[in-house]
Amino acid sequence: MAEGGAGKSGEAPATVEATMTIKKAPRAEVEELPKAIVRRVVKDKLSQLASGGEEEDVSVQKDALLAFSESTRIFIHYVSATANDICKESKRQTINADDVLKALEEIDFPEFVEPLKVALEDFRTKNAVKKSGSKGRQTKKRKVDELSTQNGEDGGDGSDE
Amino acid sequence: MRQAGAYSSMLVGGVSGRTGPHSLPLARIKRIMKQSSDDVRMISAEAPVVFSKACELLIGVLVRRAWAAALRRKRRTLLKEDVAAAVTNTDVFDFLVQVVQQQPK
Repeated sequence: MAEGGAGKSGEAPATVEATMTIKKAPRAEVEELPKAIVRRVVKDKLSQLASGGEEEDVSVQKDALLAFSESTRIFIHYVSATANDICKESKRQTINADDVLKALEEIDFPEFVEPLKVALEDFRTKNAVKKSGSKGRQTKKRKVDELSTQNGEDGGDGSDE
Repeated sequence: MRQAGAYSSMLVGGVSGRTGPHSLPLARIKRIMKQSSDDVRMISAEAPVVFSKACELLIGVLVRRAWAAALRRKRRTLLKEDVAAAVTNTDVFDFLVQVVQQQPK
């Protein structure tokens, strides 16, 4: 009789383990950042740091690059989860730039906020220029585009993926 | 609702494959954002733009500190242990502890 055979039966633990493994299976693909771009960002930063001339040839071991890449990915997760919570609290459906900025302050990266605001303004300006430039004066389109700009919503594929 | 304008693919950086001034590809960032938790809601077009720059800033801080660690050891090569030192020595990098601790010493 096998009653709660935790100790003796050889099959039970394996089955439990298999079940646990399946439950813990990671999502299909872990998205990673492109190595070439991470490498370039790292190298650019190093050449700024080492601009004294002495250490122009600072090299980066492959494992270190992976660590930078992975750190950035986890950073995105951490900030996104925080921004998601902030967004939920405001009872909105869409995470916007402001949620991200607030999240950065919450996790103690306030020094990032100002440069990011500048980058965001730059992006908004460029976008506005593109819109008025290529579309001419079609009123209909402009209204839709203005709405998109105001809400900052990604109407296209936001709900698909 | 509103249609996807001509700009949405441009905004997610998918058209030319080039990453332009944003550096990190916006579509990839968006996918990573969606993997951060099970109930991630919709993401505005601007959020990945902010992240792209934020990631550059993060890498900047990490690189600076890792480089300082390498300098202390009189090395010209950045090793993973320098990144680990940077994480250990900086409180705000506590969330990265698992990333650098993957190999037992």
